[in-house]
Amino acid sequence: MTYKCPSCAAALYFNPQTQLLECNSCRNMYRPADFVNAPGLSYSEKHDAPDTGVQLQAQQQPQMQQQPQTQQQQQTQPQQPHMGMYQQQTQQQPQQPQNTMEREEIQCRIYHCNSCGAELMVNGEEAATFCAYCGQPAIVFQRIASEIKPDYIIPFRVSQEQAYNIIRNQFAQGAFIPDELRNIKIEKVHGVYVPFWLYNIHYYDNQFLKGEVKRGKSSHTEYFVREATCDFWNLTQDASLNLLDESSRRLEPYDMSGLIPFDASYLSGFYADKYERNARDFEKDARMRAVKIFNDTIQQSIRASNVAVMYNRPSCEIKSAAYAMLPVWFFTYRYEFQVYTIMVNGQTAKMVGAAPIDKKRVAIRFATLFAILAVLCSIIMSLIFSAGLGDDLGDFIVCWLVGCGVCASTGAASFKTIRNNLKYAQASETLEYATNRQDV
Amino acid sequence: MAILFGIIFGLISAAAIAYMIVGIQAKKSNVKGDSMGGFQNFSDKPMQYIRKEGSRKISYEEWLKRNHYV
Repeated sequence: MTYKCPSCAAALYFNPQTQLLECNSCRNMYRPADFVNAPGLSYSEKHDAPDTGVQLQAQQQPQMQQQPQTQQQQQTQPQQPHMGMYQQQTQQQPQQPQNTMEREEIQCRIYHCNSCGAELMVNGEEAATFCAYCGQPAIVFQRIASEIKPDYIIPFRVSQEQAYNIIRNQFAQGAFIPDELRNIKIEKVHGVYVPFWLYNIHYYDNQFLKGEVKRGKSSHTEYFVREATCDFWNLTQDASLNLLDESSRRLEPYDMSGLIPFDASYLSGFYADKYERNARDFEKDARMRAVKIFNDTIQQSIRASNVAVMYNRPSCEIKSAAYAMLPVWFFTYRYEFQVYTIMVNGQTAKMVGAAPIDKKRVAIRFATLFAILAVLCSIIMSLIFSAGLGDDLGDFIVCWLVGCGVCASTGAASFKTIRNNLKYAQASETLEYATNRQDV
Repeated sequence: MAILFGIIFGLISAAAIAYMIVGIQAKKSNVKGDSMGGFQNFSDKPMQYIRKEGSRKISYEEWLKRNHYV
């Protein structure tokens, strides 16, 4: 399905800056809501209409063993339930396991582009893509049919150019970015609507905790009680198995006030995937996340160190789950035969990624700082020792050791964070998720 | 002797401080978006405490009894 301009029939693209569907030929602009509500066409009609010129026809691969199914057979097959509201889900029949053979065969479907007639290859989860021949945006309506239609969407607010400028500025200003990357050359750019489940969770816990409290020079164990409830709204969990959870969580927070009811016209000009598992399959991850956020908040309210929960009685109730599409820009670049992925939140413009370190610059900076500090610290320490510490020498050495330990561990933690983030930037899963798509 | 100790302690201190500063600067320069959403991003109300006690010596048994867990 391609959204066509009513004036000149060219393809329409959604512009994040104007939030309108724009025609690149005649420069007309349309509001997505006005365009979709055009008379005579409803959602199901577009999906079911036999030959309206706007429907993509799914064609199975010639090597498939199954016979084409009739409509009746399709209706009697168990459908994957939509998890729009949790209460509705509990009344539906349990989900049947998918046929393994069928699952393998739908890894790649062929659709005919209705703009140029070319065969359009779509991977297993894509809901929107581009035709490889004419470059027209194509929305795969079968993937967003009524039973798996998303509940919400946050449209792109950041354009490709804005996202690219953010990346370019960060790379140009970084003190330890290699010279070859200062004028970064992007290999591929894809704007993707990533599927997310949004959970509403009611959480209660009654905790008995212990911690170390310092009183003067000594510390002793004290006990604390925290009984509290809270409600989590729109707790995000990405519904894609291929995109790493660590990567998708770093894109947060999304401004959920920007959630609007789903409208397929916003997908025009971008890629989109559908969810790969339903909300129940990600429940455990959502609960664990709620537990962690709750416990972290509780422990921040306790003024003690080494806080540990001795006993608790948690209750975590998932009230509802909604299916949403959230915008992400994926950029890839190459450095020393290694490909890195940078993500930019398509709503808030938060950049997520890491650049390799120029070791030479780090060494020069360290040497310069060391030289200056060595002179200063040596003079200060010499003065302290010359003045004589007497009985306080032991305490002074202990404090000095603690201070040096804190500085060294802070530096080590920073370098460890850099290594971890580089690992995620180089992750093959993220790279494949970002680039395994039809290029325009 | 005091000057010798001062130089040794000073060099070690300088190395630790320089390592910390360079590490922090490198992280700021090369890593973006290291944080995730927190409590304030997923809840429109603060945590509602039913009971919040501390700095008093409450025993584990007393807590179990109070909450009817025994």
